[in-house]
Amino acid sequence: MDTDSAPLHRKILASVLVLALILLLAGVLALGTGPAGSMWDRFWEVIFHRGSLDPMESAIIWQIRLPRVVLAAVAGSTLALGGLVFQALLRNPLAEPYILGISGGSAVGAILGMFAGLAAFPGVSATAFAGSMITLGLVLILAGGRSPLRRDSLILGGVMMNAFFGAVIMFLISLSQDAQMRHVLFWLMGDLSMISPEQTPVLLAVVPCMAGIFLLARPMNLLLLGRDTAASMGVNVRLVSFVLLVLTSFMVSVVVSQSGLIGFVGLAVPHIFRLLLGPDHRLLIPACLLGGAAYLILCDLAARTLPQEGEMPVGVVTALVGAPLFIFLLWRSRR
Amino acid sequence: MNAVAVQNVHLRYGEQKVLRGISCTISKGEFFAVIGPNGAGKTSLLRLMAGLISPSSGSVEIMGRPLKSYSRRDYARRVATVPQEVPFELPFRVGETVLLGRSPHLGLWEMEGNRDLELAGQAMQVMEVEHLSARRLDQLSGGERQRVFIARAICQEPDLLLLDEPTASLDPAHQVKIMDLMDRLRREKGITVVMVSHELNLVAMYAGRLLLLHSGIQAGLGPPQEVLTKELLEKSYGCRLQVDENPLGRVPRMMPVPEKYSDIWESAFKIPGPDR
Repeated sequence: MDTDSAPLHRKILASVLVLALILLLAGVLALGTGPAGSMWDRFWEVIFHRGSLDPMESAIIWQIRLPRVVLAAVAGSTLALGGLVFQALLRNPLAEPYILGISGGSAVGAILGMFAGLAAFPGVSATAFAGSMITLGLVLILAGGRSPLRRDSLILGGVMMNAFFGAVIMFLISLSQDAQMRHVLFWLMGDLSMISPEQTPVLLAVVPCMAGIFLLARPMNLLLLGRDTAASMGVNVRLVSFVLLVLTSFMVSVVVSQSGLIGFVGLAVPHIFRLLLGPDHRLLIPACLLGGAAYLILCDLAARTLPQEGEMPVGVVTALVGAPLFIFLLWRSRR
Repeated sequence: MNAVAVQNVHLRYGEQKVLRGISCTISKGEFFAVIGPNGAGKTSLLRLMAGLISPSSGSVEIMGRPLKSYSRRDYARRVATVPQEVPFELPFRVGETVLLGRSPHLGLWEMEGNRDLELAGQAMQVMEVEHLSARRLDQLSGGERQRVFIARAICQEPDLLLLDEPTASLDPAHQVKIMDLMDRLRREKGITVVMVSHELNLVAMYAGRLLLLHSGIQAGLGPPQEVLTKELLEKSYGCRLQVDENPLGRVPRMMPVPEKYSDIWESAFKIPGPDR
């Protein structure tokens, strides 16, 4: 996609088309493949004539695989977009969706929910979500005061939150029994297998957040120039920062409450597209949405099909595949 | 009509009084410089004019309208600011950076059209950076970088251009180049230029009028001959200064007197009587 001289709208169109195609292929591949065997010979019949076939096969695709593919797609695009926003907002290349303490807060919430013997949904999801919202509130108060939303105090506040919650998590794990332990560990590494069909509507909550962030692509470009320059170019820096922070934290919390802490997607996917497409957020936002979704669908496919027995947490695959890919692109761009 | 009218402006940060009773007007098309020692409030005054902070009391009018009456976007269409510090690690290319100057004129997702590209090209031409268009910002020298950021501001099509120490950390050749370009911009496009600077000799040759600040107080306002006097400058900067006439023109020339030359200076140059 080396089209430096092409006008922006053509670059956007081209990248969206290519990535949408990749996402579609990834989705179809993930629906058709699984431990129950691939059913490619009858796949299209199952897709287009539901019910008229073996109810078992139909159920596997519609009740088990589809919700999972949808969750992977939504989680992938939310985390990638979340990382993109925080990297721009905090002007820090190491920023990722969890940097402000969402991971720690939701993990403590989730583990407490599990200890209380709540069901995965809605019980543990709700406690996880509550945990991250409480953290967001605390970070906003910490970073607030006289000059709200300074990026240094935001980052420090988030890091302190995560350090504190990290200690709480370790303490809780030390109290847990073996059966719970595995549950907790899978949640901490990110696990897409918990989803059920009745859960999927919850994911719709991320859509308005994504739409809001999408609209703020140009102010995000200007924020890269620094607060003063952005303000002198007509950006309401305080309002835009606050809106971006809240929308992003909210949608990431929704995803985390359903999938646990899937790492690396939010850190690497924005960087990968920045290397491929350049710094303009009008290109990067759609690319992260589509590319993040495709990436996590494929990682989850690997996580549930590669092991001979059972499955790996998807968070293992995201970094195992993604880190080398990222290093390769970085090496190529520096040559 | 004045480009800028500052009326009895005070600015406080908590207990600290940063500006105390500043009043000045700047005409359209004027080259105006704000000088003074570090911490005198120069940057704060510029930030007030840029609409980045509001005064604790007093009023700021821009183009005959109170600053408060502008919306952010409206204001950005008439006033462009080149701040002192821009993040060093910027991922943009030169052409992209200059084109960002069109943002206040475009809707949230409106794409830059041919006219915007044309204006960006013109701005790059004026600042003599068009040959760098495809280069990344982190590959530029300090002088080139500064010219790119000024081109970005020009691309905003401002009536008023505010610059905070645009020649800081540049070599003499690049300093003069920036000043020449600012002067040409003022003459050819009628843009009002307001500049904060420590380069007294340089601004003496370009600015029509200067404002001298000293601990937030207005210590002098007027043409270089009136403001850049030995008496005023030594009082404000708190150091010994040698002030004479610039052989290039009828403007003052300043030189701080180092300790090791103070004996020579006292015997040879310190002439009693009116200073100049």
